[in-house]
Amino acid sequence: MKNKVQLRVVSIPPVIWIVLALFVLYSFFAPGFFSAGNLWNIGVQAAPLLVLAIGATIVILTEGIDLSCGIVLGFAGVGFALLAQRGFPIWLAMLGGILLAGVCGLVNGVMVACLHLPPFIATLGMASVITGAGLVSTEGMSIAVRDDVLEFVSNGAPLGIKMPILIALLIFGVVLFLMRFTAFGRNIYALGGNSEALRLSGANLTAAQIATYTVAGLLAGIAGILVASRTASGHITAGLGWDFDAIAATIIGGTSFEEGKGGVGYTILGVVLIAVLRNGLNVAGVPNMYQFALIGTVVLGAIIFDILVRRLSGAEESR
Amino acid sequence: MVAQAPILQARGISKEFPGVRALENVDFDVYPGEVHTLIGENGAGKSTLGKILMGAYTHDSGEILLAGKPIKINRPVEALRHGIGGVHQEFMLVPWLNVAQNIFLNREPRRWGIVVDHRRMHEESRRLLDSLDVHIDTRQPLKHFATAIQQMVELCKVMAANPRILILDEPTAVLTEREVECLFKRIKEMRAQGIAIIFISHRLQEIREIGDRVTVLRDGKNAASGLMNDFSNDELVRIMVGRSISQMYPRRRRPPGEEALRTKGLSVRGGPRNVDLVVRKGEIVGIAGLVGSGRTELAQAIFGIRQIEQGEITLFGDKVTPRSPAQMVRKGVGLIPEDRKFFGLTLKFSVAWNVVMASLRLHFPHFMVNYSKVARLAERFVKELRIATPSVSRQVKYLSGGNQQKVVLAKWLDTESKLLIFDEPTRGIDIGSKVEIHALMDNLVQKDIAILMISSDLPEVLGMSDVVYVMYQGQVSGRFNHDEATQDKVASLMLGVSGA
Repeated sequence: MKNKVQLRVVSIPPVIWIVLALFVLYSFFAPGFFSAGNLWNIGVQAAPLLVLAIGATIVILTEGIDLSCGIVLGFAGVGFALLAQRGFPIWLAMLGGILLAGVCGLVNGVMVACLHLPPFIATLGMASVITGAGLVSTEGMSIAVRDDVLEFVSNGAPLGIKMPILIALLIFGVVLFLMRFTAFGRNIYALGGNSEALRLSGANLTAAQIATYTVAGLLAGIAGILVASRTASGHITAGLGWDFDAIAATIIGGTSFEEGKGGVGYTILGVVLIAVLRNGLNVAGVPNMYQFALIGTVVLGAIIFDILVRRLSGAEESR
Repeated sequence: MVAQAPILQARGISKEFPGVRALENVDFDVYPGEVHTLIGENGAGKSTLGKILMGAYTHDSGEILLAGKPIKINRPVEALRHGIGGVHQEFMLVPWLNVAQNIFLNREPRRWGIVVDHRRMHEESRRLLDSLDVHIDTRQPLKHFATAIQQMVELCKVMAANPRILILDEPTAVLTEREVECLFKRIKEMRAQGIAIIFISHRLQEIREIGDRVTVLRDGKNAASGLMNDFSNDELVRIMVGRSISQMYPRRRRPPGEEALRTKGLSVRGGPRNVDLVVRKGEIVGIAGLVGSGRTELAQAIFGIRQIEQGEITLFGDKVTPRSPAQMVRKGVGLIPEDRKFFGLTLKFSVAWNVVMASLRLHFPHFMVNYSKVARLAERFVKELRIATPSVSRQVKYLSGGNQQKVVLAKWLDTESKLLIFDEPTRGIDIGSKVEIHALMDNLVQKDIAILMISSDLPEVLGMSDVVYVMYQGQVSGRFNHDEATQDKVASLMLGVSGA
């Protein structure tokens, strides 16, 4: 009897339990949480984080880390807003913002792969540099953008699903495909798992690593455009603190910093957890200043809970 | 059968690592359709030569000829392009990719040029594995399989590339006898197909079975080369170590002293059941048994790493319940573990720091550490144990296996342990170092230290032990004094063949 219960707990990722627990809590403390409108809202809020977290996941799978992704997100928004302000067609401005973020990722990749900088220092440095660049180019202001396209990107629902959700899920699908069916994905797993094995198989490690960081940069750029479209503006600090959310979503999803273990698939659960948590606090009327500490605590708690459950259930497997 | 011209030729190869001359002016060649074995002690340079031919290292001078034409192999991909494939001594696999993904790493069958064809990949992987008589689910992550299976996967990975020249570096180190048989059958088939095979090993028996020609390296230089049948085993050993070995197991027997360790009805979580065992001061007690018979778990329980479910342990006359290694070290127990690289050493630390790792408290009770004293201590052990290292500040990872094992030993000697547990003391170590370690163990016993030794090497157990315990499927299945222990009696108990 006891065994059966244990088995059932093991087969469901702990993150699902935590999300369910939050649902129960919010049904008491956050009236209106379960309204259709709010549930859509959660999806829209989660969309850019999902895109960002996918990038964080693939970098972590290579045993690297991208601490610049939150700032790059804001930087892409700033680039986009400045281009739009100067009269570039709105689609071109969006592309420009995304490419700008891609370049940031490329530079991260070159620093890590060619110059062998530790990823955290390379990306932290990058974050600092582009924070400065963003502040200088905007004089610290929010750059407003007005265009009907923004309304469509942030609020349109061509298939009955809001655009941001559609875009995020599309990207999620594409990356899942890349991870499973292409050399790009295989390289990412092998870089983290045993890069020497990959090298001896004749693959180009430098190119693979640069590609990973570049894709992560591009994804941060897309997330940045989603955020900028919703706020109809670009601001360098738009993604402040998002790096933590993205990395936390990755870890909660079960991707490990070691041996290339994990994958993009479960990261989506981590994203849902964080989005639900944040939204519920808003609906329950918890003041913004308390939210930082609360979210940090819950996310850390979720990670600890997750590790404990894994350790208990995997005790026999691991040794 | 053998073709006229060598397919691969290395001429005057030299290679230097910081502080070590690994290869000096070495010549080597291999013909299509032959197995050329490359032997030598650990640290003789055989793996280095293999790695140079596989493109994992670059050589400093000399040249490599492929079918008579000079080629450059600076990167693994270039070796592959020339049809040179190899299995490395270290596992070169990705733990969380599945079996098929590992076999076809960077060589995946594709559809439309980009999309990986998983179905074909799994089919071909299964075919390759079948040819080695390994039947496993190719969709499982590699991490889920035992090391022997992983080694077979590694072999499949190399075979999947259809090499013309195959380099195998210690391929049998982790395989069981049956698996070795399958491997050798496959090697013979490949030889018949005209593939040139370079087989690196230091196990004389197997090179005699598989080798057509043999080349011996010693201290990074050619020591001898010729047809396998032109050399006797004794000759090969002499050439390898540069001296003849009269005594593999130098023991001076003496009457044992008081009891150091006694276990009574000891049962270990996930390990052996109901073990009664006695180790006295000044004797070596050997445990023979197959991998999985519970030997290692027993040692771990005594050292406080593994939980004890039942029974009691008496150490130097006092009852103890081992809770942690820290506690057992304080009580005078030391463990020289099976896997020295993971559990015995910090590879990136210097020799000196590894030596004092377990004894810092002992030497420096007042918090501050005196660097020159650490160096002096380490130098003493380097001299006493004859550890071959340019200096005590050298990182341990640069030492050969035998010398690394001596560093682990020095670490425990420095703690002044009174009971030492050796788990596979000489696995993967060359013959010369092996004898030295045996002699050191004998010296320890003369100083009234008690030794519990676990080993899969049956001659070692029989040659070194005063008392032999045999374990089979988590139980002690026999106990012999050294004069009554014979190879047949112990082996049949180890294998669970009744009637001994």
